Amino acid sequence: MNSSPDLATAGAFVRTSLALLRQEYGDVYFLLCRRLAPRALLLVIDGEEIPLRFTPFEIEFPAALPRPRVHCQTTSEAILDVIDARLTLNEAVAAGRLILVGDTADLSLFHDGLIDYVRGMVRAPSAPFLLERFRRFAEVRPDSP
Amino acid sequence: MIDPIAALIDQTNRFHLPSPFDPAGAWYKEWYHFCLPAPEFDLIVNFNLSADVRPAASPGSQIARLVVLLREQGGAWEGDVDTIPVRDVAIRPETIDITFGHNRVRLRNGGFELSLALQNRPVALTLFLEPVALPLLMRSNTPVGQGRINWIVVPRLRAGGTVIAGERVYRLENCPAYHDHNWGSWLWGHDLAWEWGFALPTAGGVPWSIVFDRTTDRGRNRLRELTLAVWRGEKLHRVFTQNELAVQSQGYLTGARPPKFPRVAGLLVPGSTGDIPRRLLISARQGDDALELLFEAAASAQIVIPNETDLDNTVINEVTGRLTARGQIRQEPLELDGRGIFEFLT
Repeated sequence: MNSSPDLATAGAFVRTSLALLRQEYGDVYFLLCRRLAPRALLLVIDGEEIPLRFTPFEIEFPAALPRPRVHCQTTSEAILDVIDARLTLNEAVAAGRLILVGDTADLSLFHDGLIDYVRGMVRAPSAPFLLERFRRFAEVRPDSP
Repeated sequence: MIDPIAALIDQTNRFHLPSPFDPAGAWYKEWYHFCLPAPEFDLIVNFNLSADVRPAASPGSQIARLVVLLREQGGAWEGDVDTIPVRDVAIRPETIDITFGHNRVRLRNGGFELSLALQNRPVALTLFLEPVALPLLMRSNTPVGQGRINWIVVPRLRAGGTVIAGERVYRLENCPAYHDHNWGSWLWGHDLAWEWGFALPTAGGVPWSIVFDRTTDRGRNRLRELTLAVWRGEKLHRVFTQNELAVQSQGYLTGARPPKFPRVAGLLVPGSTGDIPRRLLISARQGDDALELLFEAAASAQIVIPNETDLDNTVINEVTGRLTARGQIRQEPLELDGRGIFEFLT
């Protein structure tokens, strides 16, 4: 990951991590696509909007999403708190540090998709390096909304 | 003068790195494991090397991990699973000398020198562990799943040195300790499970050390290995096996959700301690020799290993607690009140 693209935004980390998943654990990447297609997710990290659209074989990054099925808003700090088990997902939601908007069925699917993503990333050899970069990125972020 | 126990350990306990031509090398796994049931804390250390079978790994590559778990009495578990870049791993095959980055274990001056510091958590230590009981090969090419495992135990050592946990510094002298060495070839996710544990006396002057092992299939229907070994002083005193033993679980460990290591595994295994027995009763009987053991679980932590066969996980429950043993061996009464650490693989 040393020659990774400029990781200056949360969106760049999301795109890079999904590309890494596709490269290093493609089975899970395609499982994620199949599970979530044809839905769209508007992910907001530290106020930065990161639109994601799931097709049966790819995850796309459109400039904008007219009607995302799920809206997920959080911060890089909350993401690290969950990764480091200072916070469970449920606690993050209850504390308002992870805001989810969508119907129950879609939210449930995206939760399963998140678990797929984690299952893949814990098996991706480059994931620890990307996570380390994300920690450094989060350290220098201004206080997020 | 060479310490005969250390000399024997030096001969029997070296790493078994696979030859590049060994087909079993693709499933290779090996580790050194140390446990300290110290008066102020329980400590588990594991230097772990295995073949890297992840799809994106280079063929023949290996992955090195250091696992450290520490629980101060009445406190929460601290620790982590550090992955060590293979370029920072050095293993000398002609002796016991293993370097994982800045972490090291080696056999020197009749004992294990152990020094380590976690990368991101406040645990560090430097210890000298002097073996005071002879090693035993508890498992020898025992079938596990579609592979095999070997297991040498050194049931009792005397540890001295310094352990730093957060802002507390513990100076140890004559602290009881346990060591084992496992190696073999299998994949996590194969049809296997084990329960094993050791007990060392709390009081000084008690000569008994005990190690127990039950290896089965995942459903616990098919027994692969069942052994209870008892040492008196430095010597192996009695081994009970198979139908000389009866094992019974009672209840299950309740309380707070056990912490997961690495921590991110909390997302994958959010479950409880339902698989951990509250009490484990082990009865051993052969001729006039009889022994009753009771392990009472007190606290647990979980090491979560991503399966290598599917997207599920293997969970190793590390459980601390008290163990009492009463009985008679070779017409001599045996009484042991001590602490133990048991492992339940689920």
